Amino acid sequence: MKDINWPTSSDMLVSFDTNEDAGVYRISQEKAIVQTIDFITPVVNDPYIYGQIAAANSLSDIFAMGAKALTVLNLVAYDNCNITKEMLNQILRGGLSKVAEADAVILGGHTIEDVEMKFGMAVTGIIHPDKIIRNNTAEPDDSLILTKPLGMGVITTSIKADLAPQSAIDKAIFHMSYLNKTASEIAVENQVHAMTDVTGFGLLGHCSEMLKENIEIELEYDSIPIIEEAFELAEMGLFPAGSINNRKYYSQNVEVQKEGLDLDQQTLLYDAQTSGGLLIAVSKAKADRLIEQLHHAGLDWSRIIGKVKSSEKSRIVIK
Amino acid sequence: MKVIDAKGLACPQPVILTFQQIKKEDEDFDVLVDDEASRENVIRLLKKYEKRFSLEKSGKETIFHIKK
Repeated sequence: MKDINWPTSSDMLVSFDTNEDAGVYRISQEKAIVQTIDFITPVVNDPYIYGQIAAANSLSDIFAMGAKALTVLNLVAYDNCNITKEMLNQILRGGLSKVAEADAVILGGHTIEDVEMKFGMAVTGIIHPDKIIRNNTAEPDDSLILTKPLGMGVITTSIKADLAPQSAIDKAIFHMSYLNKTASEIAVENQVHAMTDVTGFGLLGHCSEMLKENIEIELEYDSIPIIEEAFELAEMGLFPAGSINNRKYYSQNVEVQKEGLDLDQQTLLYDAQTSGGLLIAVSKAKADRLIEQLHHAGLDWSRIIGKVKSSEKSRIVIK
Repeated sequence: MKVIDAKGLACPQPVILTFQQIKKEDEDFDVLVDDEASRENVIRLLKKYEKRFSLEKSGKETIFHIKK
């Protein structure tokens, strides 16, 4: 769509010329609105939990910018052949529970009929124009922190195949429905340099977006949290197509130096996540304190997974 | 011989159909897929269950010949 002349304005602070999580538009010297939209097909069988996950996933882009969520519009594509009115009610209630937890409000929404159920939200947030946290502003010597484990793509695909053990379902539900709000607030307090949420492009796709000239990212494979059950499900061929496509697209930026890392273990680093964690670049001096605060707030899975280094090669190294 | 045509099906459908036939253990069978992700995933499944198989690739299409 490069041949289209999109209307522009000097108040457009973040728009879709960069691969950011949400758009940002300045409305005064002190205030900018942050806007995002996302919707997903069912990832779990329980309608209430599906609603919670779809909401957490939609709200996450606001938190990934370091903003506060204000208002929500529901988006519903209703499959009335397979989803009863009661189930739809549960989906909406699940969504509402997460919007309330985010201290935001639902102003309305829109429903159409569709052959496949979809639910999501258009979310508006607010931020000071000078406090926007972008995804490509990491600095040399930063530490990289991830706040949720990987493996959600493999596990949700296994759920569709009816091959997921209950322990895997429980863990994936716990993490996918967990709001990134607290992690974002702690990151903002600690003046982190860059932040994004790990979603469809997988960890290495979103790390690629953090790359820029003169820096490289070094990840410590053994420090990256991955839901244990995901390894066996990956071996059974239960990767979503998106995870394999991510590897094909982004592996040109990646150099695997760790010995013995097989293709499945590598592909898990590209696994397409739904409502994944925040990927945070913060100065090394603040990293330990940030992790301590995340753990104290109940985000036990948060780990320092690597670092940012000065380098002429703009690449990701796995050690 | 049984042929499972999984062309045009999204993950995890080709893996599910192959897995169901593996569990039956009644005859040799072929599986047809037509995208890279399905091909990779079916190979993973067959290796995990230690199945003997060969594959033919022509263009986007892959035919797996699988021993029961």
